[in-house]
Amino acid sequence: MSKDPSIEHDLERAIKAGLRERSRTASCPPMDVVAAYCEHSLASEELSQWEAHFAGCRRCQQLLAAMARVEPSVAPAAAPSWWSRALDWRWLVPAAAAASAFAIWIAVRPGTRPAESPTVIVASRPETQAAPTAAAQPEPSSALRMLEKAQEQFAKKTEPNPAESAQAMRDAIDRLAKKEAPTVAAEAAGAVAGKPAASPPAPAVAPAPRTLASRVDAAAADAAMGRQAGLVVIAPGAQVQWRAGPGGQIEQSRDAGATWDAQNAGTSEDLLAGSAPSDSVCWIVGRGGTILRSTDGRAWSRLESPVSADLVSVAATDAANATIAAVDGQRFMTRDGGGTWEKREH
Amino acid sequence: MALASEGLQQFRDRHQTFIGSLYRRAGAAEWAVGTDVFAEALYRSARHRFSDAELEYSPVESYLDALHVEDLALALGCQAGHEGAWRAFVSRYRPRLYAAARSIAGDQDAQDLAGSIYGELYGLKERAGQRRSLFRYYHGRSSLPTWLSAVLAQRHVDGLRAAARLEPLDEARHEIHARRDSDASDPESGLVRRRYVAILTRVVRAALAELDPRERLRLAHYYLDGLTLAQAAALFGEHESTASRKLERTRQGLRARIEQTLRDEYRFDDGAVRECLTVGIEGWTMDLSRELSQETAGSDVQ
Repeated sequence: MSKDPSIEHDLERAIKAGLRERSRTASCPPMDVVAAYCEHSLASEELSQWEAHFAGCRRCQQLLAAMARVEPSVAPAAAPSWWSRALDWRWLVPAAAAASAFAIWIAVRPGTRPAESPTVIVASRPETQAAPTAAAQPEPSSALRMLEKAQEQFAKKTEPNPAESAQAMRDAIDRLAKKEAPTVAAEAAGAVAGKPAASPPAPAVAPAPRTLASRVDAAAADAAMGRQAGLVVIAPGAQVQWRAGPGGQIEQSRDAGATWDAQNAGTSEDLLAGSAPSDSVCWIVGRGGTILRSTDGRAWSRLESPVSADLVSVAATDAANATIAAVDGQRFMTRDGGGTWEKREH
Repeated sequence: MALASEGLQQFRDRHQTFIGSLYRRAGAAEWAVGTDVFAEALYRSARHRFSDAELEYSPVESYLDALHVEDLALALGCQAGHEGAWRAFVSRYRPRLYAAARSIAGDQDAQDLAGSIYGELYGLKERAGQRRSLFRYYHGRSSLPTWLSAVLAQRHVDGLRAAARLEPLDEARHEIHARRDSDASDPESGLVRRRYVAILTRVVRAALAELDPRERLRLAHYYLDGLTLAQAAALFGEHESTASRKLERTRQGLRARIEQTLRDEYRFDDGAVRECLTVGIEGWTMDLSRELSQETAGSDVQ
């Protein structure tokens, strides 16, 4: 191939021109197909069919590009799940105020952890107890009545300016949102103002003693092998995620955290850290030397551990290669998917 | 309508137990969505994927099992105007709707884009006296937030394409007239230019046609849509390093193929390759601008 920069540049322009050409393809797919494509949930024959269309359709390419620019979604204010219920039930500290509750779990097991380095898991629940006064907020039914009225006026065109009715509807929705979900309304206001959306509250594992455990975590982050945010393990691409916690509970999301499905981990040990180098491979470690691995994203197997100490960190590059760190600073590496472990020096 | 009713009844009879389990999983009763309405929604979703004949032998229950039935039930409740369903929708999805609109359309236009969708979700448009909600197009094949993002993206893109049709048309007309004048005054140059355009378009089209559709799509996102590697990788469900490697391999392969064809098949030396590319691209780009201006905008949400 020529190394002439001008030829290189013109070749790029030629490719660009070729891509802009319109192909004679079938009609564009409906939006539910586009959405399913973006969530990687189309059947294989559908995937082939529609990808062949997308390859030649500029409109669909622009649409997919717009979808790709949507940030990983703001977490909805979902109903409390086993996640927060489990933490609350086990480690609830009486709260001084009714506004919020904090669960603090200090986990120190005699004989397995140095007393000077406890692992602290802190969880908080969003404010759900606040009861706005009747005078300050409208009843939800009246907010919806305003929606109905705005809709009627819009339909009958009695308003001189239909945009005013639409605005009245938006105002009613605002009031409804603020009444029902103050934190969500605050997030929306912040989002509209251009501030980053708040992440959902999640238990955070405090770092182990500053040995190689924290360096393993940093290396994992640098290599983008799979991010870990507290007890939520996110695969590259951010669509597939796992969350794990007390009692061996594991859940998986395939839609960037919008919905979660329970998975059977086959253990009742508390799970403390994870690493997901791909959508189908995930390693999770926990108390008592617990090491779990999934190679298909769904089924879990427990691997033999080189130590019985609590494992507080794992960094994996694939299904075979991973490094784990125990709470006492010991570090082990496997190259054969947990068949054998090699102790690593600090 | 009679055939559709018959098909629905057969569907319900054949999958009665499974529909019942999905109904419970969906929590549809919370939004006062009856089993009839829920079953019909499942049937319409399945009919979007399979024909009536295919419904008899295809793995329909696997398809139904993979649906986002909780979101589907919520959408049905909102469609019916259920207060609790709307309350849940507003609290769960309104911030995400506006955040998605900002990502797609930018801060300035996000409010209008999201607001217009919101109104149609509620059902501000009417037909034959009945409120028509945009939720009727949601069939549970994806999560509700992703479907909402797709609807937003479609509105935004179609709006941009409609606006863009006007600009290149005027420029293209001007360029065409300028070229005609030039060719008339120098017929030989015009002939050379047309020859290079023909060669280049043929060679590039052939090279692109050899690509796998996904690789062509990958190139389009890179060259034309300005997606980052991370965004493109997420779209394809790949690791960013994989996406980067594949893109580079495809680009290099394509450039090499085009250049090699010009040298081997047309016996072009360096100078001729350079001239063909330079002259050919100029003419080709102008033709594309004219074609783009003749494209129609897309249809409404299906």
